[in-house]
Amino acid sequence: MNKELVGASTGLLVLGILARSASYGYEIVKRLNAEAEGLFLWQEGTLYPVLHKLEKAGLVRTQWQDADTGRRRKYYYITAEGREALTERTEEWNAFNQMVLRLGEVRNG
Amino acid sequence: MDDKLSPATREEIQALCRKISVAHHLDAEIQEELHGHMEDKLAAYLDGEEALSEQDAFILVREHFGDPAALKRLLQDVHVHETHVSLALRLAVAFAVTTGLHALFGIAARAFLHVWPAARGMGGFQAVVALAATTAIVVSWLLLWRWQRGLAAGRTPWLLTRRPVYLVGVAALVWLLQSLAPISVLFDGSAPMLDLGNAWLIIVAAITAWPVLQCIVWLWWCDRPPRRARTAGAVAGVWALWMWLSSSLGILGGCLRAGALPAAASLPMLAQSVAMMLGYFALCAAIACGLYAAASYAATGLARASIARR
Repeated sequence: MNKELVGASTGLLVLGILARSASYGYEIVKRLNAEAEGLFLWQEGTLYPVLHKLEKAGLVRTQWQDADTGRRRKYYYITAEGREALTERTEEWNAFNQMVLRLGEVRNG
Repeated sequence: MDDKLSPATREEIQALCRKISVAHHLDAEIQEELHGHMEDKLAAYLDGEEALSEQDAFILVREHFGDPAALKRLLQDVHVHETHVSLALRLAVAFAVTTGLHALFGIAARAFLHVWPAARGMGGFQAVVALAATTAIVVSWLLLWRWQRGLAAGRTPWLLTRRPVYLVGVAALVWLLQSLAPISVLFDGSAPMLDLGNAWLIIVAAITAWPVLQCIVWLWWCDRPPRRARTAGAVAGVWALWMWLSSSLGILGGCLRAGALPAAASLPMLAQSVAMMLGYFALCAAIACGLYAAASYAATGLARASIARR
């Protein structure tokens, strides 16, 4: 899949994952890759700049929690602003997607 | 799950995380987060929770195999590089390039000193000669390096399609012409002596550095794997012989141009100077061989160590 397309939508994808339940870095990647069903494979390290950017924008908040392993994990929670942003961006994507499909149909027709 | 990881592996993960430095006040927290992710991933692989994709498997294979550049170097120490360039041709090319460039830059330096006589004083003469000699060596290395890359890519530079005898003949002619060229006698004054007091050691080192560097360029150009001491010896020997011959002929040519053949009484002194020159160039060749061998073995050692580390 086109990397630029995935890159432009990472924030939206992460918000989508977190909207279902709070999660930590490794688990977010696992869930994203599972959702992708082979469409793309995430370069795991690149998740953190996205997460930290969302946190700075106030769309997610974080909390360190003790894991079963005895180590601490940083959990990410979507905020109310994050949910709003997710709704807005999903609508934008839908509109954009509709346009792409329309243009694609014209070309193929 | 964490018990599966050894302290050594944890330390490696920690070292990897430390490389990702963002901002001093943030690093501890960010590194802890990244560390956790990597430990989770590693443990999941060990547990079999994380399936190994084809891409993952390839990464493992590549990492286990070692750095391709290091491996190439080690293999080149064993196998003969596929090339049709013989040692004789390489020597002839090195000879032609060195002679041509030294003639070119030598004439340029002399012309400069002739046109601008003021540059001859206050160490100017030495500076111009040094600049010309250094430029000739650097340019010769750049040329040979370019041709070496061309050969590695399967191209044969024009000069390497000539016969060695032809190249040596042309180079000898160039040397002869530049020795006799009118421009060489335009400035017939002797080099002004520079009084540097106790700095004679620096001067000796500098004078030795040029021939040593030039010899190293020859060694590098002629040295093809598998590396053989006798090849290096032959190259250094030919280089020293040529340097000695050209210097001796240069002295003789200078005497002839000045119209003064050495008197019978001064012949032993002349012979002594010529013999000393032979010793000097042999010493330069030996130093060059030593330095080149040390650098080569160090590079091979590093390559071997980089393979072993993985």
